[in-house]
Amino acid sequence: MPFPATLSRRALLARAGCGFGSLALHALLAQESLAEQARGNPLAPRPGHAAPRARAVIWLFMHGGPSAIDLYDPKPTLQKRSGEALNLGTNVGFFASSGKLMPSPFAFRRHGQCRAWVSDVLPGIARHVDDLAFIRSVHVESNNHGPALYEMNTGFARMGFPSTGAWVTYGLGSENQNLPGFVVMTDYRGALEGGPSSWGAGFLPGAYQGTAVSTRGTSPILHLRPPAAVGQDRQRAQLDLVRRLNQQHQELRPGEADLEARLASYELAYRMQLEAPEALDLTKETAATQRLYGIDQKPSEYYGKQLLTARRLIERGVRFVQVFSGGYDDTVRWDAHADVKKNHGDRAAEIDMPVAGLLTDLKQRGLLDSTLVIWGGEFGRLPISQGDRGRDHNRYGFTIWMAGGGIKGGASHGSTDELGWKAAEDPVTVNDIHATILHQLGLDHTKLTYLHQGRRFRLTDVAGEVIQDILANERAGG
Amino acid sequence: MHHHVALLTIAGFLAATAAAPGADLAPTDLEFFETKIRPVLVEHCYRCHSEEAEKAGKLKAGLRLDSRAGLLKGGTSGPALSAGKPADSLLLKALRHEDGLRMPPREKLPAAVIADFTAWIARGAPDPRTGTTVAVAARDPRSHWAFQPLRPITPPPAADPWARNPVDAFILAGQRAQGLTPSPSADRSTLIRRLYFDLIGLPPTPDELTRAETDAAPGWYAALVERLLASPHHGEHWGQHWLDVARYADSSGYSVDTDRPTAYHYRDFVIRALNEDLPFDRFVRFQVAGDQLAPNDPRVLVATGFCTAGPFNTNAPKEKDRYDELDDILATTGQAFLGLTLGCARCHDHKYDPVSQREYYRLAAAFTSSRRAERPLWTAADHAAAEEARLRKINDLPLDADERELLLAELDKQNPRQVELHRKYAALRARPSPPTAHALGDAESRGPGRGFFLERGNPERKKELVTTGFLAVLMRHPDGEQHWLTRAGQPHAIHPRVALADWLTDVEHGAGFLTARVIVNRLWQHHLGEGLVRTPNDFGTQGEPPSHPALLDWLAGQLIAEGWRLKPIHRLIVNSAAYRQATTFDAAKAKLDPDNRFLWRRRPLRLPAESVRDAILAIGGGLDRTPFGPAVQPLIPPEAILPAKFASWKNTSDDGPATWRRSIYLFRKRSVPIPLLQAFDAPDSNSSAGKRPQTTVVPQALTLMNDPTLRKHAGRFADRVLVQAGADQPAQVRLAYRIALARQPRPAELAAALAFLDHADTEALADFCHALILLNEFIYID
Repeated sequence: MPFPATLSRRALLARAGCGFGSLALHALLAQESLAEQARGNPLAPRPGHAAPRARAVIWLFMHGGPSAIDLYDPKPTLQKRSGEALNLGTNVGFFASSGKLMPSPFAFRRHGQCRAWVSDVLPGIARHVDDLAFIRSVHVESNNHGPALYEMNTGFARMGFPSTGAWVTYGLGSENQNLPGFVVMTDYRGALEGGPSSWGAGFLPGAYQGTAVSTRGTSPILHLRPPAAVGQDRQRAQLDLVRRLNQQHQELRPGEADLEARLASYELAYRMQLEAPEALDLTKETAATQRLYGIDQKPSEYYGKQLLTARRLIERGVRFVQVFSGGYDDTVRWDAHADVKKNHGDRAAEIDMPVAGLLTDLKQRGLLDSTLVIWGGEFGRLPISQGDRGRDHNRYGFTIWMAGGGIKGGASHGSTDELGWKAAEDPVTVNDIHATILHQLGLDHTKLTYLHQGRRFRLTDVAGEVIQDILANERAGG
Repeated sequence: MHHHVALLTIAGFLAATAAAPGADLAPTDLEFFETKIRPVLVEHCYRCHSEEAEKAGKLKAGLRLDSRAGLLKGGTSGPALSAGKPADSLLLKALRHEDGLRMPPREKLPAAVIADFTAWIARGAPDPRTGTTVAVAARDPRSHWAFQPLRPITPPPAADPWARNPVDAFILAGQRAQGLTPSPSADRSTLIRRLYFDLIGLPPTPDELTRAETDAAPGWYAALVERLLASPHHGEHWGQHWLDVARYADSSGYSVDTDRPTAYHYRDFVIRALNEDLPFDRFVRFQVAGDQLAPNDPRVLVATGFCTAGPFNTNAPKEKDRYDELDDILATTGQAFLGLTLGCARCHDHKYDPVSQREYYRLAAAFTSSRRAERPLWTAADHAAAEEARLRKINDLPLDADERELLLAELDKQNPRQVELHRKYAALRARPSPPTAHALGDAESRGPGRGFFLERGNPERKKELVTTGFLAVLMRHPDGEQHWLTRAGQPHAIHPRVALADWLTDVEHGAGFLTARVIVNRLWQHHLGEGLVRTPNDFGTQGEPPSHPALLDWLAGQLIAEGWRLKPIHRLIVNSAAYRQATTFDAAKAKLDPDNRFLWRRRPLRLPAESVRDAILAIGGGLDRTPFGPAVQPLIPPEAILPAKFASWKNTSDDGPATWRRSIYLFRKRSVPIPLLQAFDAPDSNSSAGKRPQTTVVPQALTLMNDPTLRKHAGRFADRVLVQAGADQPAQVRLAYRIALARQPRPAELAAALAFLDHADTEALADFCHALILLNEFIYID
C-alpha cells in the first residue's frame, strides 16, 4: 500500500492499530497525553485507567420509553387494584398525572436459573435471562423525550454535552483505524427526538462524535464512494499526486503535526472506502446467522440487520455501537400513549429475535465476555392508564439491563414500589449507569475529564457510583 | 530510608513556618508562577513530593517540591534545579524523560507545560514560596490580573529596523527575554493571499492578485489592507467569528428544533456593524439592550438577537426550560463580553473566580422581564409609507369613489356588490404587516429587574427574590450597581438591561476595561492563530495569563482611545512586522519556544470551515456574492439527515447556484449540521465558542474527495482553466495554481502536474483541479 515516506510514530501506530491493540502498543501510547493524541490521530487506541472487562459496547436503545411493568417487572398489585382511580400529583405524566391503575395486558413467566420474570412478548430475550443483569430502579430528571434522551446519553438533560460513546472513544480510542470508532444506527422510520446531540461530541473534539451508518440505501457512510466520474483507480492516481505535492509542501514546513496528520487522513479515508463496505456487507453472513437475527422475518428484518452489522463492527475493533429502536411518531417508537398492548407488542416483535440472536451469536463467537450489551430507553411508563389502554411517561422508576463484558448474569439490582411507579430500593441514576459502563471498559469516571469553559467536565458531572452488585465476582479479585 | 526519617523530623518544625508573600517578585513573574508552575506542581508532583506526602510516609527520593527551598535543596539525586540554567536542572530532565528520569512516571506532561518550566527556570525560577513549607491555598482571586484596570502603557523603544509599528516593540521585547529573534517578512504573493483570507475570508481573484502584485508604490501593502478592510466581505468573514461567540443558529434546538426564519436579522446586524465599524461599546450595548436604547430603530432592535440566539426547548416548555434559557443568556454574555465563565455560579459560588451564586442570580435578574419574541421591524414612518402605498394602489383601481368607499368600509354581507369587491381585492383590504425579527421583547421598560435565588440552581428550590446587580470585583464606584441603575436619584429609572450594558462598557467604574481586553484579544487570535490569552472565553483564574500582558493592555487602551472602533486595531495588527513574518521553521528557536508563544515566526493557519467551502465555490467561479437576507438551505444528501418529517430540511436535491451563497448565509439548523462545515470543526452553536477545535478526521477527507457537490465545483474550476488557458498544459497548470494557490508552481510541481495530465484522459484536468483542493496548501494559509 502506498504510504508517505515520513511517518510519525503516531501515524505508524495508528496504522499498526488495525487489529486489537497489543500491550506494547498500549505501553508506547501511554506516554502521550490524551490531549496530545487528540491532535495527532484522535482515534489511536490507548489504555484506560485499569484493566478492562469489556473492550466494546453495544447499546440497544429503545427510544420512546419502554414500560418496565409490561416487560420485565410484573406488579401483582396492579391486578388487585385494577381500575382504581389514582392521582399521582402535578406534572408527573407528560400529558396527565391521574388515571386508573392498569394491569399489564401481557402474561409473565419466570425463566432461567435466576427465575427472572419476563413478559411473553419477549420470548427470545427470556431465554437469555441468566446472562442479563436487571437494574430495576433507574430514574431520570426529565419526563420529556428530548431532554431525557440527552440525559441518558450525555448525563445532562440539556443540549451540548458529549455523549457516552464520545467519552468512551475519547478515553480509549478505537481499535480499527479504517472504520469509525463510534457508530450509530437509527430507526428507518425517523430520527429520535432531540436529534444527533444524543450521539454528539459536545465540547469534545469532533472526531469523537458518532458516525451514522445506514443499513439501507446506497451509501452506509456519507461520501464513502468516489464520485461516479472518478472511480477508485483514478482516485488512487489523484491521491498519489496529492501525496507527492503535499510532501514537498510539508518538507518546507517541519514541525507542523497537522500537515502530517492530514497526509495520513487521506490514506485512512481511502482504506475506509475499501474496508467499510466489506464490514457492512451482510451477504457475507450465512443464512443460518441471518435467521438467528430474525432477518428472514418481516417485523424483525430491519433491527436484525442493524444488530448483525453491530456485531460485524465490534468484531472489527469498533469501540462503541448504539442502535436505536423507534422512529419519530408515538406509534413507531416505544411510546405507548394510546395502547400498550399494540405498541409494545409491535416493538417487541421487531427487536426480540434480533436481540436474542445477538446475544447467542456473541456468546458462540466468544465475544460476549468482552462486549458490554445494554438494553434500555430514556424512561419508563406509569402504572396508571392514559386513555383506555395507554400509559404516559414515567421518569421515576424503570428497568434497563446489561449483559456480557464482566456483568454478572442473572443479577438483579434495586426495585420499584408495589405499583412500579417510583424507584424504591437502591435507586440508580444515569450517572451510576455511566460510571458502570466506563468502569467495565477500564475507565475511572472521576478521572475521565475534559477541560471546557474553565472546568474539568466529566460524563458523570459530580456524581455517579459504579453498581457493584451487577459485576461478575472475579472482578473483585482484580 | 534514613533520609526519609531525618526529613520527617525536620518537617514537623518546618510546618509551623508561615508562607511568606512573594513581595519581592515582579508581578509578571508571580503571575507566571501562579498560573503556569504552581498548578502543575500541585496536580502532578505534590502527591509524592510535599510535606503531606512526607507525613504520610509517601515522600519519594527525599524530594520536596512544595517550597523554593525544597527545589534548591533537592533529593537523593541532588538539587532539582539550577536557577537560570534549564540545561543543568534535573527537574527538567525528569519532565522531559531524559537520562533515565521520568516524572511524572506514568505520563509525560504536554510539551507546552515543559516549555513553561523551561522558561520559568530560564528566568531564574522566581518562586513566592519563600517559606519552607507552603499552603496550597490560592491567592485572593480579586488580585487576578484580568480584574485590574488597564495600566497606561508606553510601547518599549524598538531600535530594531525589523519593527514596523509599536506592536513590534512589544513582540521584540518578549523575544529578547527568551533569547529569540523574529523572522523576516514573507514574500509578496504569500502576504497577499494571507491578507485576503484573513480580512475577507476569500481567495484573491487572478485580477486582484495581479493588481496587488504589480502595485509599485512602497505603500502597496497598507493600501491593500485598506481595500480589504473596506470590502463588504470583511464583515461576512469576521461576522462568523462573532457568531461563534454568540452561539448563533437559525433554529431552536432541542426535540422539535423549530426553525427561526427571522433570526437572520441579527446575523445581518453583526455583518453590517463590522463593515461600518460600529464602535464596539455600542455593539455590546445594542446586543444586550438595543430594544430599550433605540426602540424605534429596527436596525438596533434586532441586535438583541444575541440574547435569543441560543437553544431553547419549544416542546411544552416548563419553568426549568425558562431557567435554562436565562442561564444560556447569562453564560453567553459572560463569555462573549467579559471572558468569564459566569455559568459556573448557577448552582454554587464560582470555584475559582470571584463570582458568587448570589451575583449570578442578580445578573440574571436583569433579563427576567424579557422574553424572546417576533419584533416588528417597521418604524412609524415605515408603517405610514406602507399604508400610503396601499391606499395609492386602491386609488389606482378602476373603481369610482363609491366603490372605493365600499371597499374600505366594514363588510355588510347583505350588500352583494360590496361582497364582490371585498372578495376581488382581498389582498388590498389587509393592513400591511411588517416583517419581524427573532429578538428580545419586554413587558416593562424599566424596573428593578427581579428574580429568584435558586438553591443549587433548582427551580423547585426558590429562595429570596433578588434585584439586579453586577459583579463586585468589576465595580469601582462608591454607589455600587446603583451607579448604573439609578438616574437623578430615581431608583429603577433605567431598564436593568440598559444598566447592565452600561456597566459592561464603562471603562472607568465598570467592567469596560475587561470588555476591551477581551475583544482585542479575539482580534489578535484570529489574525495570529492564537490569542495573547489563549483562553479567549476565560480570562478568569482558570484561563491562561497573557503571553504579552503589556501589549494586551496597550491594544485595549488603543481601542478605547480610537472610540472603540475595531478597524484601527485590525490595522495595527496586520501592518505589524510580527504579522508579516514568513512561516520559516527554525529548530533552535522551536526548542526554546515550541508553541511559538513569542511569535518568532508565523505558523500556517487552517482556514475555518466556512472559508474552505467559500474558497472552493470561489475558484470554481460559482460563488454568489449577494449579501444579507434570509438564510439559504444548501443541499444535504438525505442519508446525512434524519428523516425529513422531523428534521424539516427542505433541500435534499437542489444543488443549484441559488445555494452557492457564502457560508455565513447558510441556514444553521441545530439538528441538521451541514456535513462539510461540521467535518471542519464548525461549532454546534449550543454554547459560546471562542475558539474552534482543530481536528483532522476522516470525514474531512471523504467529503473533499467524494462529495459530488465539491466535485462539481472542481469541474467548473477546470472548465474555467480550460477556457482561459487553452489546450497548452503548462499554461493550464500555471493558471490553476494561480487561481487556487495564488502563486506559480515550482519546477518540480509543474513536472509532477504535467506527468499526471499526460497520463490520464479527458477528465484529467478536472482530477488535477480537484487535487489542488485536496492539498494542504489549499486550506493551510502561510
